[in-house]
Amino acid sequence: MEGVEDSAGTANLADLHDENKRYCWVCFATDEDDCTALWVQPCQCSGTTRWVHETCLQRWVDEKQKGNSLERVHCPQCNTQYIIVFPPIGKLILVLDIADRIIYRVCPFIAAGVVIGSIYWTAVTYGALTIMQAVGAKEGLALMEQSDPLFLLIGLPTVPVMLILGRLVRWEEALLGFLNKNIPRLPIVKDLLPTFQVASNCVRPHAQGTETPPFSDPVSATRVLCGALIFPTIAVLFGKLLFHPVRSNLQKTFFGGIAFLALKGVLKIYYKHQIFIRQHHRRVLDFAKQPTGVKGRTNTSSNP
Amino acid sequence: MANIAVQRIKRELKEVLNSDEVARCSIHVELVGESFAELKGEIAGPPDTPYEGARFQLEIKIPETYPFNPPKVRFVTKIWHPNVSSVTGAICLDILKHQWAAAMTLRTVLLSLQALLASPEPDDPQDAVVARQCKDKPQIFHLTAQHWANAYAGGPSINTDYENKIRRLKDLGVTEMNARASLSSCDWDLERATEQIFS
Repeated sequence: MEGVEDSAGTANLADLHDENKRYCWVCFATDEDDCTALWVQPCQCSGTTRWVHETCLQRWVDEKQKGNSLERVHCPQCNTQYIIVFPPIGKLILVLDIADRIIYRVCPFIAAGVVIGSIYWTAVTYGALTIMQAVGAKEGLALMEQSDPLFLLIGLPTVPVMLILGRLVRWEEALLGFLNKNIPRLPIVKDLLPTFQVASNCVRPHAQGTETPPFSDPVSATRVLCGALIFPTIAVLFGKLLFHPVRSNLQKTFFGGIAFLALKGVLKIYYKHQIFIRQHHRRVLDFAKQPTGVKGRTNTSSNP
Repeated sequence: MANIAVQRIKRELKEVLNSDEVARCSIHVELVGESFAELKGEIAGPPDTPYEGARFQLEIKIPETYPFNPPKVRFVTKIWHPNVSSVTGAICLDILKHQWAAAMTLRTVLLSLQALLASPEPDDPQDAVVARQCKDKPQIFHLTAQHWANAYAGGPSINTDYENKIRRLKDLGVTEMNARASLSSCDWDLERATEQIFS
């Protein structure tokens, strides 16, 4: 929406103040009101908006720039860009000004570099510790000393990355889905594991208990992170417990890791499947026939 | 209040009181109190509009940073217009916001508001209900604006049909103002307005 342009006002004010008299379009003062003020004619305006006090215009420019002294300002009437010049600058000030700008620009990159560098060195350290855990402290150190340093600098940080990526492979769910789909079709296994029948006939897809994908929320992301980073320690522990006759530390850890993964997978599949069966067998009771004390039971059942 | 603002208001008042528009009673400005921070404005509804013959009161508040920032203007008289809130009187006009220039005056602001009454902008609304009516049912909008001008701003046209509908709602215990607002927003459908009030 356009406001009424100043043409009418201009004509009217011109009646009051004749053309020869200067008057400021900001404070409306004339020469008579203030004979010492400095006048400028900063744009192509003529008539009542031709003259303005320099101080008044400076304030208007400040108001328009809102602190950004490099922003261009135009005359609100004729849209001419004001020509704003700064006094010549001393060499020292110039150097300081340039230094100030460079520092301002560069700091975010330095900060990002520090953060990324910290993460990188943490990953390298973690990789080295993991190798020492897996093959034994002395052997690990010897192994790393023999290796090419460049190989270590690239190889060590990939250890935690690989662990996290590996944790993202959700093989238990795939296996569970496969079992749900295929067990009812197999003639003998079908009778051994009858509960899988239920899943294939289910009409309530939400009851399948699909897990939230990783990184969908911060909590599940921390779960992936913790699970991935603690895995080598657990693998070493399992190796020592279950496979102590094996000589080589590396083999122990390897078998321990596989044993842990298998155990965890089986437990997870069992847990998921039982939860699903439980969901499937839930019932909604008739209100009238609700036995006394059922309130407590429903509460506990909603909290498996 | 800052000296520059006071000095300017003083000069502007001199200008506006000497203007042709005040002579023709088209606009009017007067001080409220002695601080120069608040003024009372009045504009006449422009001819050939539903507001013709009505007079609208405005509240004008001069900010501390005037004239570098626009005055805050609001309709005190209730008005049915797409760019003015039918409840609060708040105005949507660019020169009262980012398009303000220090060279504008109380006089040009009031003349701009008069121009706004003459040419509503339903595509940049302040009151969405009014704006929709203005676009979809211009005939009803015209009559409603005329009726509001008659009821609140001394406009000359009396709409007996609308008066009767308001009386019907008043008989049910609704205040006249609420009845008018509801009927106006329901395009004077008595049934819908009743439902809106009593639901």
